[in-house]
Amino acid sequence: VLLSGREFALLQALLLRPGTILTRAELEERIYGWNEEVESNAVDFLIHGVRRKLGADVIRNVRGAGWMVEKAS
Amino acid sequence: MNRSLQSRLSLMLALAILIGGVAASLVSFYFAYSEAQEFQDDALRQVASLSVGGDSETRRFNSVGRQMADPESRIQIIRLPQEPSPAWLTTGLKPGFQTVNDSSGPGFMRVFVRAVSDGGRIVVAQPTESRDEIARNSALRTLIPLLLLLPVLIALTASIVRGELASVRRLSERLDGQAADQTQALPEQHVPDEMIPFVQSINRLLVRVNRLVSEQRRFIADAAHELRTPLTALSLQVQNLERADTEETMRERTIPLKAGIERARHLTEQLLSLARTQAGTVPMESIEVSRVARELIVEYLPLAEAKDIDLGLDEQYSVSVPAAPEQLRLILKNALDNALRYTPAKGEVTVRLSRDRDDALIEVLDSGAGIPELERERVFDPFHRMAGTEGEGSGLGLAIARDAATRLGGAVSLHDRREGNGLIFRYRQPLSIKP
Repeated sequence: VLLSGREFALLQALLLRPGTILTRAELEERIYGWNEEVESNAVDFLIHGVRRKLGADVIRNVRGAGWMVEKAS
Repeated sequence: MNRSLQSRLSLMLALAILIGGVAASLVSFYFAYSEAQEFQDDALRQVASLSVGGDSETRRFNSVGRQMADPESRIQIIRLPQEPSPAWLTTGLKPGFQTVNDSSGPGFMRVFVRAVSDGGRIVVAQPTESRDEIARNSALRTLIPLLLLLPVLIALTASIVRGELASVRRLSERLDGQAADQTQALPEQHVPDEMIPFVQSINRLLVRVNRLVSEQRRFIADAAHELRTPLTALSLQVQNLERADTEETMRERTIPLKAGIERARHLTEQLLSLARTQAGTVPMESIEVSRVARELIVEYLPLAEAKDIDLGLDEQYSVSVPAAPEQLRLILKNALDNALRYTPAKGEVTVRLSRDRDDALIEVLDSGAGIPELERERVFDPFHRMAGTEGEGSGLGLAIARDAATRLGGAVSLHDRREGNGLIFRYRQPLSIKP
């Protein structure tokens, strides 16, 4: 499986804090640099990519709140 | 500085009396002294006028020679120019009073000179020393009653002050003598007017304390009752378990036992939260509510999933409120807990953050059956449960939320959802906001 740099950055951000919901703004902050223009649906696009490559249940969406990776129990 | 009202009052009054007394003494002494001096001057003048006619008579008194000496007053009468003038008597003394220095004799002399018709002079002299002594003595005698009165006045003041403040002492003795759990109002009779507002404040406080004590008593009784119910169920289930003969029935019968233990644990935990909320003040800090909401959503996701409830967040404003994190969590946690508990499967529960003018609104919306208008106040009472929901929760969740809200300076309330059915739990608190 080959993830793009940004897909990896997104997955890493989520995996560093399992069980914590990260908002869209928090994810954009971790993936993109200071002066980069961010498309409004960029995060959704990356999430979609990761789910397609690793399985849909890797990243969990919480309505209105953001995304998280569940803590391994 | 001494803070006792009684000793300060006594001290101040005693000082005032002392200062007044000393001032009065000085003035009185001065007047009595000059009065005595004038009186003696009058005496000298009279002696002089008596001496005018009786030349031979004076001689008879004056057997020693040119002077008549009274050993007590030592008044000298000298006729000029018949008698030799003493050394201290400077010539050319004008008629009237004067004081001259007799350096060879007793010191200063008070002298009265009177012109006689034949061109002579009559000089009446008296040493100032003895005059002053007489004046001083009589002036001092006028001070005696005043000086005697001073200690009496001071003692009297002290005892009056003590007597007047006795009512304060009696009040405090009455308060001290009361049992903490059954206080009685202080009487307002026999209390000085100035003390009445104070007594009334204390009485109002006592009323509040009494109300609190009886509420606490009722709460403890309710809590004990609530704890007894699951424990009774538990002991019954244990008896059931003992009677099980196969391993399978045994396993089957531990299921309700586990649930019962879980309920008892939950109830105890809620009781502890309530106790913690009620214990004193907590430091406030600015809290980003959406972070707390997200943490709690994660915490409740498994429960939501088990009931297939869609749990989500609706952040209309990024709300920050000054609050104590633990209390804010308690409010939101209990609201979420209730919403998930009373929303049927496949429902929806949403945490909504918004603002209404200067207030932050933190709401939990559910798609449950709601609560009838009439019940909405009573569900906040400890251990109150709506008909048909017995035994599900601890009955403390909303009571805890309301307690915590009051402590944070906010308020909780329940409302109907405008769109669709369901209930809105609303926590409203004045905010500092980032739009």
